[in-house]
Amino acid sequence: MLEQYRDQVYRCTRCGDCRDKFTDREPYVCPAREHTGGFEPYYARGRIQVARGILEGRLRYTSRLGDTLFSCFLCGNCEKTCRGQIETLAITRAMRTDLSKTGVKRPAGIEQIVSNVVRTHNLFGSTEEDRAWDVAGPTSGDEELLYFPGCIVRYWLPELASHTTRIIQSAGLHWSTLGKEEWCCSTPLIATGQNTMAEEVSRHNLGLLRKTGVKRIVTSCPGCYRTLKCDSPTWRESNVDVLHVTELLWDFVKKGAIELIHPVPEKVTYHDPCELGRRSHIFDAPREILSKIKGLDLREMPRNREEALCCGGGGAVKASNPSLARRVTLERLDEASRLGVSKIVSCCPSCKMNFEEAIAFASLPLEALDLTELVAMAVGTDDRRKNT
Amino acid sequence: MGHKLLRSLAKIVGENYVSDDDFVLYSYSRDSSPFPERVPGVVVRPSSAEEVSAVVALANRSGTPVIPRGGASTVCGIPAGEPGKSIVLDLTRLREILDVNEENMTVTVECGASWSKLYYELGKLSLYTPCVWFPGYTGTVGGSISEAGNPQFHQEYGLFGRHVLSLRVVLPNGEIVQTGSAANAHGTIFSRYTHGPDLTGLFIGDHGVFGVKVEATLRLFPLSKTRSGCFGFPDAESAFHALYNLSRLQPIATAHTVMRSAEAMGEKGVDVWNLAYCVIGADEKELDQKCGRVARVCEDSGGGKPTEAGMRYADILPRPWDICSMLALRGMTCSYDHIIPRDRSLAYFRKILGWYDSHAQDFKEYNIGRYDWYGFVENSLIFSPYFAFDDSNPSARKKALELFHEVLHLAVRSGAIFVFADQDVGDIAASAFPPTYLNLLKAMKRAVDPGNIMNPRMFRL
Repeated sequence: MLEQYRDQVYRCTRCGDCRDKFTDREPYVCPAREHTGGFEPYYARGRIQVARGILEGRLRYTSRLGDTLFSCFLCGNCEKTCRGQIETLAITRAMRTDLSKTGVKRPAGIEQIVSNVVRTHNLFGSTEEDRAWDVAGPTSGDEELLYFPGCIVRYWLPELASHTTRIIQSAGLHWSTLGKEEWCCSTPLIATGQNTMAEEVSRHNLGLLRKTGVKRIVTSCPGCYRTLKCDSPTWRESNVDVLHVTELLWDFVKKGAIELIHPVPEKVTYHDPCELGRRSHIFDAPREILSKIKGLDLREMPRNREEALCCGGGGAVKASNPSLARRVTLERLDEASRLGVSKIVSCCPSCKMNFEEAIAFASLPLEALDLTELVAMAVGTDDRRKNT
Repeated sequence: MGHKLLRSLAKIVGENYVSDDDFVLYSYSRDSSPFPERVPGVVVRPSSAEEVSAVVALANRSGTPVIPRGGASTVCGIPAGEPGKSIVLDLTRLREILDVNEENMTVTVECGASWSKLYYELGKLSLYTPCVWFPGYTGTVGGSISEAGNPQFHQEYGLFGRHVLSLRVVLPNGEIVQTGSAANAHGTIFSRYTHGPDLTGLFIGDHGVFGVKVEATLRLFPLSKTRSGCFGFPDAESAFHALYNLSRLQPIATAHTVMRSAEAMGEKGVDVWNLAYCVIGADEKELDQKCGRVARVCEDSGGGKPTEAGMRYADILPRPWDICSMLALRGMTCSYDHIIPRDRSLAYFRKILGWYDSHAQDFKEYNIGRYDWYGFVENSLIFSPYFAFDDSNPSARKKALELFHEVLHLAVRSGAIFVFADQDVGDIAASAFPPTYLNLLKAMKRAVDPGNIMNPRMFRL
């Protein structure tokens, strides 16, 4: 797989912009390098050097190299900063894939999530009974939209699915799901280099979608969104219209399909998820929605939009090296806390889960919310909180 | 089998910050140049002067070569050391700005800090120190001091070494010394010169052969306003004429000039030479005056409308770090900066153009791009030949290196000196040391570093 990127590997001039870069804007610093021993292979320049060593037969994959490869958050900041236009993420993924093929032992957490998805078709290895949000597939036959909640929402954050579907309903759209047959979107498999398995999973989900006849799919998770829209060849060639819930909500607001009538008097900051922001360029829609919510005081973190720091949950690092992931999450929460806000809002279940765990761990006076939760409050579909 | 000092080093810096993994060592085997890789024996990332001191003392006791390393974005070859044995000291954890003294106008910074970071942080205080921009965003303060590199706005501020007031250096025996006004144990750091020889100067441009720089105190200036522009010229000689005359203007008008052909700026087939300039001043009136003087000189030499690439260059000049990043688009590069006195500059410029003409077929056949630039610093022409090629093509790499060596020897024979050299360019530069000069250098090296552990083989020492 790495062989496909040989030209790019040789094109790297080792300038090191991918390490840290202080421009007129907020400085970029590679989070993996910053929170590890920081040797060259922990960031793109050194990793590409290692790739060259492998291509030239000077180096071979080892479990210790694997630990380093799986310390990358795949946040995409280095790729954005590279003036040589080198696909640093694709190269890292290719190395992960090739490492997996060699049979070299990967970090235990990585083996676990791969096994989970293969055995149980969800990220957590949970059983059907564990599913916290369980809605049957198509019923009426006139559904216009298929909602794809993803593993984290189905098993851990069911309230996001409830909010999302209620809002869709209030906008007058008929929706459905893949029901019990929904499998993981395959993001964890792609992030860990299991491309063949990832395609099997994609084919399963796409086959189910075809049976429903629905041509639009909306996801809660930016990871699912990115995989279905871009990263999975099967989905990419399917001509299915893939939306992230943020795009749908902004469309509803613009068309007046939902009205944000209830004030939400809170000081909040918005965290751009890597897959939705830097990698999919959806920066404005969530901010536009937040700006329409009455009483909301939105404060930007210094590193926002393209410069946003990863939440710590990217690249399967949470599985491979949880303490590293936690350190990055705490750095992001510290940045939010300095703004004097009470809430950090994202539109990614993975970010929310990371933030919630780290907030509890460090007893921080912050609450992590998903954008759909705030919208539900403002629309009034959140019965519990619409009067806050 | 691991490096023999691995455990001892781990005791000094902590297990997380020392590695002899093969893939880690390999990733430290090159700089930004196509020169040969040199794989060290172990890499250490200390976080303080005291840790550096302990590592160097350990290396000294065991006779292990030490290679200090900053941003590693240099383009003249990684230090030779002793492959498989050397300790690479990755100094980029020493990156704090320790003190900004607005009364004495000094800044003290750890030497692993990048210039771009220093510029960024000082800018918040409306302050400036002549930053070295050439190695790009990752170039470090210590790395540039070791190489005596040229600064941003070099025509106003001169070669940047003159703005280094004091250095804190770990000597090859592990002792830590502070140079400059710290010569008085009761004093503070405020002056380069003291009641004795200029020991700060000993370490400027030493390429780390005399010790490891851990802190630097630099002169501060108020942050100026900037304005930049560009003129286009129909041929090389008229552009050079304008560049030369700008360098002679008194009082100085331009802070920074870059003259390049449009082809060297990436515009194939465009037969124009661009002269981009940047002026600095306290207010708009001063900028207006300086720009007016620049325009008169350029127009007198036939300057007119620049190309689009010339204008893009002018936009970058006030913060030129991006020039290096732009070059990343062109492929792997060979480059070095050297200076030649003004009174030899025109003859040298013609010689270089003649050399290129006589090798035009080689450049074409091997698809080697030329991205040279010229400017003036103090009383000298500064010239940076810049060859870019496809590094995955071994014959292109071989030919580019051959041509590079040839033009390098041409520079040496023409009396040039190098504002950075590193191992591979330094080897050739050192070939022109007169015997008495080399003997003095060797004697000093033996006195300071009898075991020759610091960057051995640099400058043929």
